[in-house]
Amino acid sequence: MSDHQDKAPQQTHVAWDESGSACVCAISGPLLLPRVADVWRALGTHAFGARADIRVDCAGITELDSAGVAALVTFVRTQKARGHTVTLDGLRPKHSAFIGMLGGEEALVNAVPARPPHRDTAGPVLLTWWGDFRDMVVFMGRTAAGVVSVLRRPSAECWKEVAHCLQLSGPGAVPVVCTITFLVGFVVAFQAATQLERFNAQIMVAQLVGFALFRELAPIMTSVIMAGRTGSAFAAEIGTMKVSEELDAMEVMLLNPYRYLVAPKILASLVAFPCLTMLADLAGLLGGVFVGAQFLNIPAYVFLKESFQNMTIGDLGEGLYKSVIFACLVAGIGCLRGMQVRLGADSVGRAATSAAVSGIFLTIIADALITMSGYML
Amino acid sequence: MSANGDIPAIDVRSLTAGYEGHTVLEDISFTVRRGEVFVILGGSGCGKSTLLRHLVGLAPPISGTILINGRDLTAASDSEREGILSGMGVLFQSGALFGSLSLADNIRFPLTEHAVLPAPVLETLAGMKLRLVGLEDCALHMPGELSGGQKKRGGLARALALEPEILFFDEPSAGLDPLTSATLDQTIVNLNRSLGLTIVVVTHELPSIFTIAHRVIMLDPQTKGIIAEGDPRELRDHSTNDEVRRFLNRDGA
Ligand SMILES: Nc1ncnc2c1ncn2[C@@H]1O[C@H](COP(=O)(O)OP(=O)(O)OP(=O)(O)O)[C@@H](O)[C@H]1O
Ligand SMILES: [Mg+2]
Repeated sequence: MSDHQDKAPQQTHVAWDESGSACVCAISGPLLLPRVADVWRALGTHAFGARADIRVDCAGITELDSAGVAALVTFVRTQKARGHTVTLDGLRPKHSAFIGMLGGEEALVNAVPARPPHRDTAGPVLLTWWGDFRDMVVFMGRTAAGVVSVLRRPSAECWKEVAHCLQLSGPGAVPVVCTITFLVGFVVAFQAATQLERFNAQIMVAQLVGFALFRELAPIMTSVIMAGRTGSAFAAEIGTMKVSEELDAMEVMLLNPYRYLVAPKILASLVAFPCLTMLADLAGLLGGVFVGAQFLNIPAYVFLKESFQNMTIGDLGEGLYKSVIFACLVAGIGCLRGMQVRLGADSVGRAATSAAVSGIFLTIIADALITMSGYML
Repeated sequence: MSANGDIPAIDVRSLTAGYEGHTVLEDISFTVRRGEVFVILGGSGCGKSTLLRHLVGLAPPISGTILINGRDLTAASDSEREGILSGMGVLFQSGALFGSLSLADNIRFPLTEHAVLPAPVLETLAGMKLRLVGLEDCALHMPGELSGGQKKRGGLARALALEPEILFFDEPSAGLDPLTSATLDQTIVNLNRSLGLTIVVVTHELPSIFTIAHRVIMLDPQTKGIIAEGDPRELRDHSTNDEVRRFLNRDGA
């Protein structure tokens, strides 16, 4: 504020006079950016009777900038919208010309221009949910049709894209998936050991780690990592194509994006997820073995024997079954978010973020549902 | 003119178009004759791209009909729509080449999917289309490695790959140097003369307009309609509408 002070050395006053039939408001002094807030407060807090006749006497305005114009125009518009009549009097010619140049004259002279419909941001949350749901149903239908069309009428282009996606999502994810599940196995083994120590049942650690990893942790951790890594990449790729009109170009060339973009990504994920999950199983088990050998005096072969003896192929199967479901969810939501991109590069970023978050969310929900239904049946 | 020359290539009848919550064009009608170069003019934001998107079936109109070669695009079933669209080629504002494919592959992609061609023939064909736009040396480049003008020409080569009868251009010369832009104009004129293509162009460039256009329409954001239609030279000199004359004479006053 202070640095504006020298620009507006004079005081700005707003004086009200309601003695006559009209309510006269005299503004005097410079109406400049640093003063606008005060003037606006003085204008806005005044109480008018019903259908007042307001005359703003502008003869005293010595200087006027765009912010001042905006304040005047906004005042006129709001009061007119409330049913009052407002006139601006005594404007200096150069000031009224300035207002005209800024497009405010119309608001001053004529009736209030119709305002664009106000967009309520809080109201249509339900609507966006409904829209999201509708998008999702349409998307699933088209994706299913796309997958079927790839399988029934395979073409080199589609398989090239599958291979491309597989290359992007598969090998690159191995180090991070293995590191993370190794540490998860490590931590689980450690925590379990401190608890089981009380019952002198430390050997049970092996069984527990194996069980938890194969059925739950390996598929979930893989899926969470892939949601952040691949789901968001899918969203960004498709979203970028949308923004750069490539999807439109596909559509006018009668190339179905669900066949050439979405289906290959789903198919690639259906291969990548289970493979990565199996690697995660191994890495996690190694983490457990490491804890056993280093801290619990359980030799590696005893640990592994204990783990495998107590597990069936069904435990591995359940993990892989989950990973297939997660693959569909994570890749699917990634592509959906990409397809939902409308305009601009910033919406691509948002789509990528949303793909990761939704992917993780869906993974956990689906896992809970699958596990629960396993118990109930 | 072909046998059914009396059916216009494009016939737009009282089209109202827009986006959620607001209309951009209201009740506009015009026809594009077979074999002509038709230019859509208008200031920035007046709805030219919007109109183009509707003409190629990328957006459904709020009301009105669009007939392409006498066939209704707006009410077409999926298979009819495919039939109508297969006769069209579109060059998007940014070229819209597929970023993950090389230039040559961009041209091959639609061909392999819509036609069965032996690989060597395909190769030659892609090369020929690229030569047509002067990009034969860039066949193996990725779109990211091309300049803006090259991308546009690449997009044109791809649009030509499927042998369209009607070509649409969204601002072909925007962002190009005068020379490249003049070459592109010449390509448009050649395509129109030698192949008899019907060409619809959105552009702002006055020199382009006078070089290529047989007829123009000018859109107006205020009335959301067409304020002028006809030969651009005629309109420039004799239009009764002040704004049209000023636009075509580049008169800002
Ligand atoms: N996807 C969209 N959603 C909502 N409004 C849009 C969208 N695209 C364009 N518009 C609006 O529609 C109007 C017409 O836009 P359009 O892109 O057709 O203009 P244009 O004539 O092509 O302009 P330019 O010459 O600058 O490319 C503009 O007012 C714009 O704000
Ligand atoms: Mg445009």
